[in-house]
Amino acid sequence: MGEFVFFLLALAWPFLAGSYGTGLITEALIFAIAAMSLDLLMGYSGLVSFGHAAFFGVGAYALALSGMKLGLNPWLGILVAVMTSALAALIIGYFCVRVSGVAFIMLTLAFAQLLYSAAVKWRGITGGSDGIGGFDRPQIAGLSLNDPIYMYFACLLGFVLSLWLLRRIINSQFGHALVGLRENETRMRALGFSTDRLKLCAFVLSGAFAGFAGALYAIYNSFISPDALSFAQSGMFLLMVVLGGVGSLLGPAIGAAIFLLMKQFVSSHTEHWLAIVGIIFVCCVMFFRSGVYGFLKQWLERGART
Amino acid sequence: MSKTKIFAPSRRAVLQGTAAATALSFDATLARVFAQTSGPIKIGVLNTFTKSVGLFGETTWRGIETYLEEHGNKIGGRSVELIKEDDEFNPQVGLQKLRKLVESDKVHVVLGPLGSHIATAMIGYMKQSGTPWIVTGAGSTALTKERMPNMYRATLSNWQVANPMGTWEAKNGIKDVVVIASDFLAGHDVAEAFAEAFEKNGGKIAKQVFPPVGTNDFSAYITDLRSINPGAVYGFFAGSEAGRFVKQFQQFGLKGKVKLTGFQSMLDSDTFPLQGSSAVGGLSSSIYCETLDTPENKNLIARYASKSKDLPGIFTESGYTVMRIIDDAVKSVGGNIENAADFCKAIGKTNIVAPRGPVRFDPDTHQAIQNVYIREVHEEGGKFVNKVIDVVKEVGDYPGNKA
Repeated sequence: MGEFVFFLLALAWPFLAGSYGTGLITEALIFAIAAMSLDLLMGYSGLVSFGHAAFFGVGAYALALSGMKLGLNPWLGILVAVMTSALAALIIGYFCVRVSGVAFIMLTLAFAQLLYSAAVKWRGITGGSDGIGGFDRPQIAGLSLNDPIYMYFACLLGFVLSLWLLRRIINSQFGHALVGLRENETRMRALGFSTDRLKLCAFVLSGAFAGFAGALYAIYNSFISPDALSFAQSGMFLLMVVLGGVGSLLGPAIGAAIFLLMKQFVSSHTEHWLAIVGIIFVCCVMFFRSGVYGFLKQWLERGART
Repeated sequence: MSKTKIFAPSRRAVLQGTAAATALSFDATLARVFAQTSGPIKIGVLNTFTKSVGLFGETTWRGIETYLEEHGNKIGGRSVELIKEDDEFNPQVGLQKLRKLVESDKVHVVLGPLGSHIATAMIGYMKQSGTPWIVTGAGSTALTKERMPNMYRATLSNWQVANPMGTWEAKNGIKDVVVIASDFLAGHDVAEAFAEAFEKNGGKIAKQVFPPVGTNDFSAYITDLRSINPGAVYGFFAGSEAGRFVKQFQQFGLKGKVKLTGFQSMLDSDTFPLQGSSAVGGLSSSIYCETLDTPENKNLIARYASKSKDLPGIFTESGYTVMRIIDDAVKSVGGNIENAADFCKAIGKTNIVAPRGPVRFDPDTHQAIQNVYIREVHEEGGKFVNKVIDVVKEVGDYPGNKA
């Protein structure tokens, strides 16, 4: 029910808000896809990745480069971006899933930093620290994504599609196996599951969705630079997931929106916005253990009972 | 879910809070709508005010304020509203802020940014939006290659400052040079522009090295420099790196043996406190020099004295001059800055004598055409300043940027 109202609001949003508000939510939708993809790893498989920006960035660069260097249609570019990110996740995941706990966190971080330096140094391809800019947004059936409203609906469609697919994955047998992995890996192994392979599958799927978000982000900004691969970006994804509620899929999406909007408004008023966002984050972790989503859900349920 | 309740606000409290928050934000929106219809000229200042380069944003800002104070906070007869946004030296943040300035604040003109990577990110969006945009700071040579009708660069281009220095050094008795430049895009821009002119005029580039950004210890590079023993070293560093390089250059005893020369940012008023006497005698090229003996510059120095104990630097002068450019353009369109196309054309007709000297724009690429000063560092009563030893008049844009 709540989701339906949400969806209606999302459909009406561009006509209620001006172009600025539409742009803000477009960006929030893109980051929501990335945050949900991280939640698949963190919330359901129990794998805390501190390098998720790597796949986001790879997707974004793949889209930009397939358009600029290969002259590929951006719609095909999105496909290429998803596949490239999945491939990157396969290679990186192959090494990462062999370790767990802190070692896993550090290894994902290390790989992300590796890609970051590659993007900075490989000037001929990536444009170095100045990035790649100025490519045009694609058209579909004569509708140019340069129009903020079409861009918004394209991202909304991408978001709904991702949410639906991720839910299908989580509710499948595979998804249940992932939760088993999170709860008790030893037991899953004893039951005969190939845990490494399960983890790798989750890693690749998660990377593919992050790459999809990255591709949309590159289209939205008509620009990509190494900052999208930086570990600050990875940290931001983690914050979004924790803020919204780990393991609730829709929670991280809400977390992404809250984080972006909060940042946008607070940082216009003070240069010390990080301190304020930090305090809010500490409060969230202390008082809303299950994130904003969990809190809202509890609150609504309590309201319904009384 | 049977956790202990730590925090459970009553529903009424939450509702009241939400209502208050909505009312507040609504008020702000209303104020914005009203300001739009009558009112002040809105100038969006998108610069870096935090991080290691935040100082440059701050000094640009002070230059802008200096001009406004001098002119009673009026431009072309209309009052001015400045809207300041910090891009955190990050292009993604820069784009978010740019959208806010253009779509939410509805500014009439955008000033900035400092970082070339942020300027690159802004191109796509600014082409679309058509909002007048005056670049202050970002030096990437390729930026003006875009030849956007609504973009002008009122400050230096890397090529513009580095290339004349190459010619000057070759013509002033320096035969071979080692180029050492920070390993990011600007460093490569500068090294290339310098080397091209230096070699064209008969000089020899003995070696080019690119230390990574953030290098603390230059000893390996300086030892190498000593064994090559060239006539001069040409350096590109900024901020604290410039401080470290110049200091270590002296500590290793190369000062006096190898001539120290470099880009504007390597030997400038903001690096002198870090360099002290090790900077004395160093040569650099820039579009501005704080000791220029012109009435325009003396006026700026006198007015800036109330804001800072330091002399104005290149960024302060940029902030000041860009406001002068806007002022003149607004006057010439009769105050109607809302007509972006006419306003942009008026900027293109700029022809002023700024504190830095005469400034006008290339009609094709929209790069400022201005003097380049060859400067030498002097010590004067315990303070360090640059003094002009030669002028290359009216240097334009990189010829490769033209149509």
